[in-house]
Amino acid sequence: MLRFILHRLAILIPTFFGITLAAFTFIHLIPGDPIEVMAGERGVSPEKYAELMHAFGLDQPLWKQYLDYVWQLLHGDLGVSFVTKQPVLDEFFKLFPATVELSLIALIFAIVIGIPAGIIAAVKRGSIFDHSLMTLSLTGFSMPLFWWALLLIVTFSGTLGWTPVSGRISALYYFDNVTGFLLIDSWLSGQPGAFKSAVSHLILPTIALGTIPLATFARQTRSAMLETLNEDFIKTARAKGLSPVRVTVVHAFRNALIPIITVIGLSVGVLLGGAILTETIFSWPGIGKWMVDSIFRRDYAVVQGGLILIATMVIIVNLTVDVLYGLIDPRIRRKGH
Amino acid sequence: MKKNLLAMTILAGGMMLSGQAFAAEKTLVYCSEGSPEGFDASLFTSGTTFDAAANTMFDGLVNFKIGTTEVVPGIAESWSMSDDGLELTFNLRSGVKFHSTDYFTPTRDLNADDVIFSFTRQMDEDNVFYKHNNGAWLYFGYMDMANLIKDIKRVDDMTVTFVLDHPEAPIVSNMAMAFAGIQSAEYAAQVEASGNLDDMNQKPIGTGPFKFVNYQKDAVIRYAANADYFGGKPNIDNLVFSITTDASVRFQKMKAGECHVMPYPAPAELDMIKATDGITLLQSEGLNVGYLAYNTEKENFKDVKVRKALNHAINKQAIKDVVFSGYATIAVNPIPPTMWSYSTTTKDDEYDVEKAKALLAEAGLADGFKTNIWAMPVQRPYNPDAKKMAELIQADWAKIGVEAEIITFEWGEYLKRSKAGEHDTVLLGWTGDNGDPDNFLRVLLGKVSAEQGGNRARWADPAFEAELQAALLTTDAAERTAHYQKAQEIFKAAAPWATIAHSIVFMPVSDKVTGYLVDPLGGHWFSNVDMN
Amino acid sequence: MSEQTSNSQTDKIQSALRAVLSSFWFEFKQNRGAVYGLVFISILAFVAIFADLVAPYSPIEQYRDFLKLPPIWSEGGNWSFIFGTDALGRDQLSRIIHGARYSFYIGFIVIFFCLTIGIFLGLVSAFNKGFVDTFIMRGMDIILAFPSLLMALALVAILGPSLENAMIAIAVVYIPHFVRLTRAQALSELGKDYVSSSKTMGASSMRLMFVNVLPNCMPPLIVQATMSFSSAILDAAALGFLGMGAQPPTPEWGTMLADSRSYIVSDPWLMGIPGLFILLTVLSINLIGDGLRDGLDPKMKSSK
Repeated sequence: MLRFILHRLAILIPTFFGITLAAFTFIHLIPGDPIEVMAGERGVSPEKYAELMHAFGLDQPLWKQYLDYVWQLLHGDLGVSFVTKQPVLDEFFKLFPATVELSLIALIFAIVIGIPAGIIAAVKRGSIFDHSLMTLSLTGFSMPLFWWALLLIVTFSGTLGWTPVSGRISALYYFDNVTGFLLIDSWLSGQPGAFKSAVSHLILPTIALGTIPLATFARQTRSAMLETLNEDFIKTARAKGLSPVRVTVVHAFRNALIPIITVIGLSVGVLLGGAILTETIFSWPGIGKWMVDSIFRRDYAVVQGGLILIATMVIIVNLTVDVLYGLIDPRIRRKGH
Repeated sequence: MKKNLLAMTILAGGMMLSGQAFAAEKTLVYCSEGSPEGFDASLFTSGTTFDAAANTMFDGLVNFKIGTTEVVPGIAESWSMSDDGLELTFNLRSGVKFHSTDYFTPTRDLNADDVIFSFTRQMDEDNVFYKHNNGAWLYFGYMDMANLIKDIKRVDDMTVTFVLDHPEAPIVSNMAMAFAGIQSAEYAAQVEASGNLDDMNQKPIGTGPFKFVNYQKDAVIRYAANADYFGGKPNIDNLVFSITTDASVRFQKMKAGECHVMPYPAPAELDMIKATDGITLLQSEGLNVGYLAYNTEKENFKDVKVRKALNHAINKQAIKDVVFSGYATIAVNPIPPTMWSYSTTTKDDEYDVEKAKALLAEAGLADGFKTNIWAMPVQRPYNPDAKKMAELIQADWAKIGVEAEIITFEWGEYLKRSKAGEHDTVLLGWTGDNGDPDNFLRVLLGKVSAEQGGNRARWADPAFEAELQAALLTTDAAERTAHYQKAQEIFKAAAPWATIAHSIVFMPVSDKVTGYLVDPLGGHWFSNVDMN
Repeated sequence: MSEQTSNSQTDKIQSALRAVLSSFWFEFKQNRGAVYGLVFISILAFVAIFADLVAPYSPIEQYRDFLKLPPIWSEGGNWSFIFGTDALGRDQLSRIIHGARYSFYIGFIVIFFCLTIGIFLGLVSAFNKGFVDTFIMRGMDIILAFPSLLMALALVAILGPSLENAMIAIAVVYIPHFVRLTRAQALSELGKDYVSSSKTMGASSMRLMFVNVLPNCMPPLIVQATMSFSSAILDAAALGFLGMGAQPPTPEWGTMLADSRSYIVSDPWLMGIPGLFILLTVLSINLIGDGLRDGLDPKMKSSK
């Protein structure tokens, strides 16, 4: 097992350098000049322009900029934002909890509803429930996320006034950020209503972001369950007179787990991608919105650092999923990749 | 469905409780349009940052009277200009206190050292803060202050004299701008000693009506009233900026009572906002102009007849109705009507397709020609939707046989390339900084500007330039007005631009809020606001 | 000798193809959703092809006396503009019809790039174990490490916002899936008897790649292509929505949505109609995809 993990880690190193090179190349190919964006309609004199280019190290040859960047990176320094002049890593850690909170809740929402629904649909195959679930989940899967989010806002916040429109918590609450997760912090603060405010702000973004994973999980669970339910050992278990619930949940579900874990693992990338749109629409102060804003502001340092951090996260999650497979199914360990 | 019902109950409970918790204090929530870049306004250029830093926490030597462009005493009680126009002396107010916070406690009142520090850090290349910020004091540069100020003299503890390189009338107004806010030299020394120079930008200390409490990135900024403010303690106790980037969402939040004041409503929603109970829509003519500049160096646009023809072909009324939802003033001159020296005798090129065709024929282009319209990729106060505007102009010009392609670039690229003169025609605009006509005419149409590219028409008319220079040398308002009005006549006859519109600034304000004044310069101020 | 082999092989392939097709159609028919999807897409394709004849107006003509007219089922609707008009007075129905063209255009171009480049790299990778394989697969890992929308956004920022560049960006992000799938299929085919026997008969590796192995890799690739077709439409719309896709006045549906965003509260149908069409189109294609899966690969059968 240890060898397996080490082998996977060894593969990660070139991938990581590939990621830094890719991010660096992207950023330097993007046309548009961060200094012009900073100056706006008013412009900047040629002398000041040269001075600033030098200050940001943009006047160096590209290969040197890259090597300097990697060198800094190895010392844990991702550079300084052109716009706010704050270290990229600091900004990332300030915003990251918001994204994690939203993605986690959306993931839980998708798992808690999607997997049981998929199991029931598989067991009651061909029933009305099965058909409507499959239609609904395919619809959810086909939903343009931004459109869905806007529909939710218009309906539940605009017309019905049930939920807040955007943000993480009502601006009236003020308490210390202990963990950065507002659900926990608001609860710890003991301020009346703070926790409820945090929960109510989470509802619409969770639904918007969770819909596509939910649909995927339901479909995947159903088909994985159908496959295992047909296998001999289940038939045997049934024949032995074990209770149907026990057969379904314990025997069949456990064997259906691998494909289900696969889609859950894959959905991390989907969630991060979805977070870009969801956060932008709900003014959710997380890294998705931060990245989009930075791309539009030509904040090279942030886009570059953010891309690397996000990609690194994705490969770490993938590694974890791989290791989990290894634990569940020893055959994979031996096969390698 | 059940889940939603549950959520509703939770929410209703939350709202009731939150109301009680803050009943004792007056907290005003302002749904701001974006995150500030930092809190040292001298380093930045966006109005968003000025609102969050300069307008709430700092004072200049002089201030703008809120809601006007009139210059009133700030940190300086009075000021005087020497007869040769080269020495500007400020007499400082006594007893002005910097903010006391958990990160700084002032030991003395404001004096001349603070004023001198606030400017030298922006012009002295050896200053620690100058170096730390790579000299990126952008507005100081825009206003050409480094070339204008030769020296700053400390006359005594409470008197400072600026020695100028040449006479320039608008300098007093410049002193009221965000970049000229007065910082504490004592705090700067503390920050320098701590080694963490960025604290000036992250933990601001000013003299203004509010002091800094905390900033949660991209979400909320909190301020508390400054009880020691020389202008009197503000009526509200807490000020909260709730950052909400989407205009429709800001309005939804206001409707839900989550905020009390919001800037930049979507033009399409104005009618709805007006009809909403509990919200008053304040408005004021904006100090801005949106224009289409013809590149007068390109072959087809060298001829004034062609420029005039294209002007006559544009249906500005349609632009006003569609792009601004009717809420704008059609622009005749390059400066807005609310600005002093606005000429009322100039005549706009009226919408007249036949006349446009005739002019084109006179210019030998009866069959029309191919050209392009550059449209900005971003929303600006003077132009909420440049692409739509470009589509309308494109359709208008098609009627006189001029076939225009719409071109857009990323914003930085757009500014750079249009500065280099790559465009045929380009949409752009301007929002005033200090209420002086010089700040429009010379920046946008002056000769130096034509050379450096800020003048997108690349139009340099000697007669026009002469009027601008003459107006700089005198502080006499009547004389300056005459020069600027003459300049507008020259501009209109030469038509380097199609002047399009001056937008109207709207501010939806909750009925709970009293005393809010709309700033024509586009800032947002809360020192004189009260709540009931 | 070799000619004979190839003739008999062609025959075999043809008859196999026929059998596959008929069984495919039988399975596909069983899936009612897939048939509905096919019907909707066929109508849409017809309308898109004959857009100039079907659409009542030009998609970019501005009727300035009819700004933001609601659709006929709302109060104040007008029969001359069935879906109403947009903020510039353009006929929404005509824009939707012409917009359908762009959706197909996006889908086909993206799939074309994904299939050609993906299959090529996948086969090369499978046939050249060692450095080439590692290099290609690590490259794909790198692309996959970036969330697809973020990567596409960054690519469009580089290339400049336009529909064509959005399509290129989307294709780049999808290609790794095709490479991995092709490689995995090819590797499993390579292990089979018929391949080793053709090898011993002296078939070149080119021939082996494209004639023997590729056809057997096709079914899952076709299913993947269908799914990518619909995701491409969604992603292009998302890019358009963020202002990084098709530029006005192009009646691309995502761009239409972005255009109407500021009217979301005042005139919700402006946003509702293009969004609904994106949803229906993507849903139909996904339904067809399900049907294809049933038909092409009964093992992967999901809904029966």
